[in-house]
Parts: sequence; structure tokens; C-alpha cells
Amino acid sequence: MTVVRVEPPVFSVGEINAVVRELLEGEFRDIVVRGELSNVREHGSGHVYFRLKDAGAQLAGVCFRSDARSIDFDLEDGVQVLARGRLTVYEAQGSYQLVARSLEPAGRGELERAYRVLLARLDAEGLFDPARKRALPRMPATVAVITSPGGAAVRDILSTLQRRFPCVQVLFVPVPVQGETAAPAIVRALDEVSSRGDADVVIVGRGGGSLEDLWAFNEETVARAIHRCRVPVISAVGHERDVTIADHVADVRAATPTMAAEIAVPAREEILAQIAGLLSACGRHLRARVAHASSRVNEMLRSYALGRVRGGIEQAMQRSDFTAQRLRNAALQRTLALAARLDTLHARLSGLDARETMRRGFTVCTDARSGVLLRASAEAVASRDVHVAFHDGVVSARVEERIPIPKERS
Amino acid sequence: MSEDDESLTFEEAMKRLERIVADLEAGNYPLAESLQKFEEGIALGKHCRALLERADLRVRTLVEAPDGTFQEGEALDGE
Repeated sequence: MTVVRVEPPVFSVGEINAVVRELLEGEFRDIVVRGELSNVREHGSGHVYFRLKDAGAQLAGVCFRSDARSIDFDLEDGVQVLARGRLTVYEAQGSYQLVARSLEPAGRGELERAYRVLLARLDAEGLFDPARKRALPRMPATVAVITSPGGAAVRDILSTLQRRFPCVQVLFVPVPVQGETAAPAIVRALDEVSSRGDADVVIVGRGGGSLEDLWAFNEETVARAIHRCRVPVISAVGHERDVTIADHVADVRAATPTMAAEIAVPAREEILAQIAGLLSACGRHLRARVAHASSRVNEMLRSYALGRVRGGIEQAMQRSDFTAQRLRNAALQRTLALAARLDTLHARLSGLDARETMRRGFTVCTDARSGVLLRASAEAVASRDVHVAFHDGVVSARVEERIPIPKERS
Repeated sequence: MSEDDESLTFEEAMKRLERIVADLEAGNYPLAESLQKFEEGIALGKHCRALLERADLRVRTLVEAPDGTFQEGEALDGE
């Protein structure tokens, strides 16, 4: 019996690394590895290097810049992740690593499922019914803001309110917006704002973040608190692509906290234009009213009826009895009151007009001694000492010379 | 405008102004009252403009105490 000793094949280092590379890269082209992140380092180039580990093993990993850009959560040591990608072998070192195309926190799949289930359930229950969305007040006196005291959200909201509608009052309720304590705190804040009843609209939200960061806004308790809130709710969670359950329940959904503030209050310019319109309508209507009234009073004064009353008064006066005296007083007082009222109206209304005109640069010139209005340059020359009234005060002046204006040819 | 009117909220003042304009237009007031209303309208307009020029947003904070009650804290200045 001959023993055939099979000699093991001999590889050069390069050869064996090449074979291993072919085997590993061929076999593990699309895998998901679950592990805990450690040694996370972001290179200046934008590539992210990390290690995945569990109780007894480690695996080197890299996520190249183009893929690292789409990671939507913080890569921190200790976070459990699912890394999807392929294995590559670095022949020069005889090492291998995971090239991850995507990284997501472990448990995200469960969160997404929970999100879809709750969404469907609350939808079926009618919590998202467009018919129960309430209209927001056009000009709220008080806006409640429920968000984190430390985030950019509250700064964005306050600065937007200040810029657009600074007369609004803000009731700020600071709450944690992520982590376990967030949802209960948001619920209590919403209930408090609802029961106080001193806010006209409430903004609840936070800046953008990962699905995990935003999770409080996908909790059923928060959805129900928004639903039962007696004050209309604007949700403002994260950025455009993150639609939370809270967004679905809220009366109005804003894509960002800044937009929530813009929705909550009107813009200053719009309102100023509206005020200007109302004031000019005020003036127009009053002028029409005065014109109407004065023509009626003139008619009355001319009327036959008044002539008869006057005749009656005169007769009564001639009789000089008690009734006549009373009648005269009453009639006289009525007439005087009417005339005085009309004079006042005319004077005040035209005074208002004149002041406006004078503000544009027109002046009124009177004789300094008599106070008589001067309507022509010749009258001014005759006066010598004049007062010139501007809208804000009067100056005294002495007329030296009249400079005639050449007459236009007719 | 009376003392009372100074404390009107923006919306109250605007509503009042809109009401006055509508009533003036409809000729609802006697003449003398029309003028009063006109002047009130001007004052309300000024009041609204002044409110829109406010330099500082009024911010009250409502903080939850450990016992679960909410208490109004110090007013913060707007940023």
C-alpha cells in the first residue's frame, strides 16, 4: 500500500489574496450586517470609516461619500445599525471590509411597520378627515409654541413671528422633542394649552431629523392629544419629506417651523395695506355723509314747513306767554345746535383736509394784525406784516415786494 | 380713542375699524356721531400700525413643574 502524500498547493501571498478576494467578493455581493457602530471617523474626503462589532467580533467598514450623503441619522459609537453592502478584500494588506451602500438604525423596519399600522388605524377612525380640519384665525392674539427650548425651531418661529406680526403674543411651552420623555411631555403641553384656552392657535413641532428622532410625532398618544386639542393645531415637524402622524392629524401641516409661523400669522405688509384701505374708505364715507347732510339741512332751512314754524314762534313770542317762551327756547336751541354741529363738522373735516394739503408743502398766509386770509399777492403787499402757516406751525414775515407772474396767453 | 381702546388686541381693533367703515358706508350714524366714528377709525388705524411696529415680541413661557402643573415663567424677549 502506497501512501500518497498529497502535497498542499503552494500559493504566493498575492495569489492567495487574489483567490480569497474572488471568493469573498463573489459570494458576498449584497449582504446586510447587523452590529454596533464603533470607531466612527469621517474622513475629510467625505468617506465614513467605522467598525461593526458585537460581543466577540469586529468587522471594518466604510461608507463612501456618495452613499454617506444619504444617511439620515447620526453615526455615533454604540448605535445598533443594519449595514447593507458588499465585502471587499484589500489585497495589499490581506484584510477585508464591508463597503456599505446604506446604513440604518436597527429597529427602523419595526418603526416603519408601526408607523404604517397606526396610520391605517387612525385613518380608518377618521382622525385625518379633511372635514374636521379647523380654519385658523386670521389674526391670532396669542400663538402657543410647543417645541424644544434649545433647537433651531423655536428661534425660527420667534424670528418669523417678530418679522411678520410682532403684536402677537407667544406662549412658549418648552418640551423635549426626542427620546422617551418627549411624547408624554408633548401630550401634557397640548392638553395644558387646550384647557387654558388663552391661545388662538398652537404650533407643535421640531426641526428635521431621522425617523427615530421624529418618533414622538408618530406616537398615538400625541396624535390623540392633537385631535382633542380645542385650539387649532399647526404641525411643524422636520422637512418636506418627513410626514409624521402628527402632521396628518393636525389642522394644518407646515413643512418647517418657519413655515408654521408664516401660516399662523398674516404678513405685516398685507395688513398695512388693508389698514390704509380702511382709513381711506373712512374718509370717503364721512365726506359723502357730510355732503348729504348739509344739503338736507339747507333744504330744511329753505322749506315752507320751517317758515311756518318760524311764523308760529313769532306769533307765540308776540303772545309772550309761558308756552311761547318754552317753544322759542326749544326751537332756538334745536336750530342753534344743528347749525353748530354742521359748522363743527365742516370745520373739522376741511381742517383735516387742509392739514393734509399743507403737509404736502402748501402754506396759508394771513394778515398779521387782522388775521384775515390773504388770497392774492396784492393783498399780501397791502398787509406788509403777514403770518405764514405751515402744517406744523406759523412764521411771521414781512412782505418786501410783489413779483408779478407773466400772464399766460389765452 | 379711550384708555380702554389702547388695550385692544390687534384683531379687536381691526374688527372695530372694519365695523366703523361698514357703518359709515351704510350711513348708520347721525352726522355728529359719524365724525366721532371717523376719528375713532383714524385712531384705531394708528393703534394697529403702532402694534405692527412693535420692536419686541412678547413671549411668555409655560413650564411644567415636577408635580405636573404648569406655571407661567418669566417673559422672554423675542430674538
